[in-house]
Amino acid sequence: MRMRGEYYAGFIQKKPAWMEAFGALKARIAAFLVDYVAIFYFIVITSYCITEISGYQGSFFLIPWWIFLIVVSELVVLWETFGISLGMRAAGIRLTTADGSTVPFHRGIIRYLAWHISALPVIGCLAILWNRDRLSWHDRISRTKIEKQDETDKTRITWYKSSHGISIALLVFFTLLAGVFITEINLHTLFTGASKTGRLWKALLTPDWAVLGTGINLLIVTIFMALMATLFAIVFAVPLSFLAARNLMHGFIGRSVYTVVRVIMSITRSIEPIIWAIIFVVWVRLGTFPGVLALFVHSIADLTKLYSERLESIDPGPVEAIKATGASQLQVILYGIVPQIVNPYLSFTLYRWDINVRMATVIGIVGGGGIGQRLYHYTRHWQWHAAGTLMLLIIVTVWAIDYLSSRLRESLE
Amino acid sequence: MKREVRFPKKRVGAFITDWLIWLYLSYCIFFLIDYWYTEIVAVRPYYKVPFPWYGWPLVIISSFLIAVAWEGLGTSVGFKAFGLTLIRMGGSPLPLRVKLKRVPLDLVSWSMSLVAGGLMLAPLAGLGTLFHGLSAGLGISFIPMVSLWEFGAWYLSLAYVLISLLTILGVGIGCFFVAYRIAKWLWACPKGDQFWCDRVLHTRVTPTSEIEDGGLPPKRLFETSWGIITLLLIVITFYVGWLTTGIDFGNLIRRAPVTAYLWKRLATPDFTHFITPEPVLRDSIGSAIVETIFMALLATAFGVVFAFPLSFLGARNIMATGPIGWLIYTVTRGFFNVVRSVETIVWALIFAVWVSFGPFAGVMALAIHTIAALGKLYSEQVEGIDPGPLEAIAATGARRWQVVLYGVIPQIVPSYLAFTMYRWDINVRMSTIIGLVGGGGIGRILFHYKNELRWEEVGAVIVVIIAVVWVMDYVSGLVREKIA
Repeated sequence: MRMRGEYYAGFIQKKPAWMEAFGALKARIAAFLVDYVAIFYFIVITSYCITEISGYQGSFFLIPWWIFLIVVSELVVLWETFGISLGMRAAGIRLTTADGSTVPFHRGIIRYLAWHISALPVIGCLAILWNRDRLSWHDRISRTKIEKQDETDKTRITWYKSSHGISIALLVFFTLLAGVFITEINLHTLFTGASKTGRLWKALLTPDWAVLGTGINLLIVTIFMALMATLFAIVFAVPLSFLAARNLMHGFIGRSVYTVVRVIMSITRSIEPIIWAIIFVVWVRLGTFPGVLALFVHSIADLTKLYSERLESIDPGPVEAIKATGASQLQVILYGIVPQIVNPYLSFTLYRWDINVRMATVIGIVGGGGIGQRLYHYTRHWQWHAAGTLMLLIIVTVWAIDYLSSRLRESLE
Repeated sequence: MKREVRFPKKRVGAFITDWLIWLYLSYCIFFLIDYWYTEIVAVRPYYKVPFPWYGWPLVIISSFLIAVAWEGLGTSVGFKAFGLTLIRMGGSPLPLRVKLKRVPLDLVSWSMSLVAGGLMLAPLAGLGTLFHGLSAGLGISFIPMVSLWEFGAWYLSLAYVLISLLTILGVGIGCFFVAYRIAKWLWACPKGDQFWCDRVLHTRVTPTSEIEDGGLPPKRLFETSWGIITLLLIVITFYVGWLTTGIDFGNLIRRAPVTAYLWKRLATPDFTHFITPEPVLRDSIGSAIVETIFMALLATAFGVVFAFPLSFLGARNIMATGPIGWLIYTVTRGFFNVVRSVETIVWALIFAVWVSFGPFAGVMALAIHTIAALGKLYSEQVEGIDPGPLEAIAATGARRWQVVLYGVIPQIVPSYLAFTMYRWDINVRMSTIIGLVGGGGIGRILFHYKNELRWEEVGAVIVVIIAVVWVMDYVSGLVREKIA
């Protein structure tokens, strides 16, 4: 591929001034928003943690919401004035005096106060757009300026000495702490409950061989479910992948088709096969067929994504060479693109089959057939010996297929 | 001539492939006979064509015979897959006369090999039944489900177990010795990969790539036996798969108008309980989705914390330097593989009993699966590192943990982060459905609505799930870009 800069380096123009001005404004707004969200989130999450720890039952949100919003924005400005905030770090900017040295305390106070008359009515911030030095009103009053960070800024300070580093650490800590409360983590139950499961483990480890025959039959059905779903999915995913490849779809119609296919596939992929199975069970009634359909729909979406990403990264050389001979679009695809993608496509398909086998072992929980349905039944009826047999079969099969598919994929590369 | 016994990987792999193909084909044929008879001839529904007990040995032995004959008479799928060709010692193709003579000799060779393999595995089977009997509380047993000694006083039991183990050991050594002698005789040649029948008949099975003139002239796919069998396998697999999984597109289309109401109701999502709690569950969709995200987050965090140290124990290049290290490596890898093979939802079934229903069970299920999956991915990364820096650090007289700290960790951090983000994506998806079996989160609400056939609310939950998965994918994409 030809790099644009290689040939026309002399003609590259400086960015127009308005673009630069918008860039400067965008960086500041982005920094402000990131800080706002961070502080807002921090206050909410810490109050939640405090409420949980203290055991207080009422609402921790005592002040009216609009005062809360104002307080947060005050905190953001203070943070951005007296240190490199999280948002400033992310946007790659920092605050200095006009001559480039550190901002002294009194000038910081002035900037903070000036911010209220400049940025609250918005006009002072928009001044960046027409000011020659890209200064807002509060920066001009306090004789400070915002400039880009250079590489030394990023490496100079260790994380626990900078406010943004500490803030990230605190955010992570309180998020995990809140997670412990939200997900009701209780180590006491975990350890005292272990004795309850002693019987269960014992039963799981002494399988009931009477269900072995049934289990193997169900296992065969399960593997076939995954296989059929994958086979049908290939038929649909291969043509769809060409429609979902950015480098092949040109023009307005092409781009709109690309977007529509990508969005539909993305939505389909976000819904797990089990949820699809719930819908298909209503549609075609209980049995293995809804399971196959659910896996099939999800596989189409997943394979289309994998395939089209591969298509987007093909080598354009052979394609251009074949195009230059005057070949038609079909011939270009057939002789320029297909030879490049056959092996990766096969590899992705094997990978997907592997996933489908795993998924097929649990899709029965909602009535999608296969070994999962029986397993769920046994666990509900407390027949852990029989469940142990089925789990053993699942482990062996999944292991074998995982090994097989990884070996085959290795040999394809 | 120095005789060296070396396990003939390719030959055995090819033979097992062929045998399995014929076993599979016979399964398919019996399945089809059963299906056709039930569909066309049988009067009673659910009639099954009987499969007598002697059918099992019959099928196994006949498929064994067919596999041997196939390998002797033509290029089998196994030979093709492992890139092997049967030729004369000089390099020319075999005439049919020699091929026919070779089949019975080959049969003898493979049968002897089976005997040797069985002898090698016999003590393992004894050990397995012993442990099964002990863990099942049967007592000591060498025959499945039959106890030879009931448990007595603890010292008696201990003595019995010790004696049994010693017996197995003794028998095992004897078996191994006999098997070794058989193998040495069967596979006798300097490289240890030439069969007894090949030695007698002056034939050779070599990798196709090693033949100078490229072997036989190329044939079309359907003119070769392996090509025909492969095509047959594909067709029969598709047909049997179609029948087994009950695929019925007619049903799908016929019932499409019946489910129109379902789509209509799903497409008009009802967000009433997004903020206000659902009275039965005392939980709203909004709070459930927050719970879901935090479940995924905590599970990933736990997973990373435990998988990180375990990944070093499961890396061959670090651990497998001595017998103890090798044992730790094997146990860790086995743990990873077993735990990974059981789906998260099945783990949630177990943890729902252990810590009772709720998001904690979901977190534990996700976490244990994450530990195993990340552990495997991580340790593969550790195995793929550049040994140069390690040797340099080891040469300075550093201890093993210092080598890991300064040589290994700097090399693996970027890929660890990438795998963690990948796992985070999977966990977000999984945590949306883990509530179906009592794991908490949005899945619990989804299952509740689905059971009450409130499809508008189900539609709302699905919309929320899509939105969350999208946003989380986007966020993880941003983070990934930042890291890279």
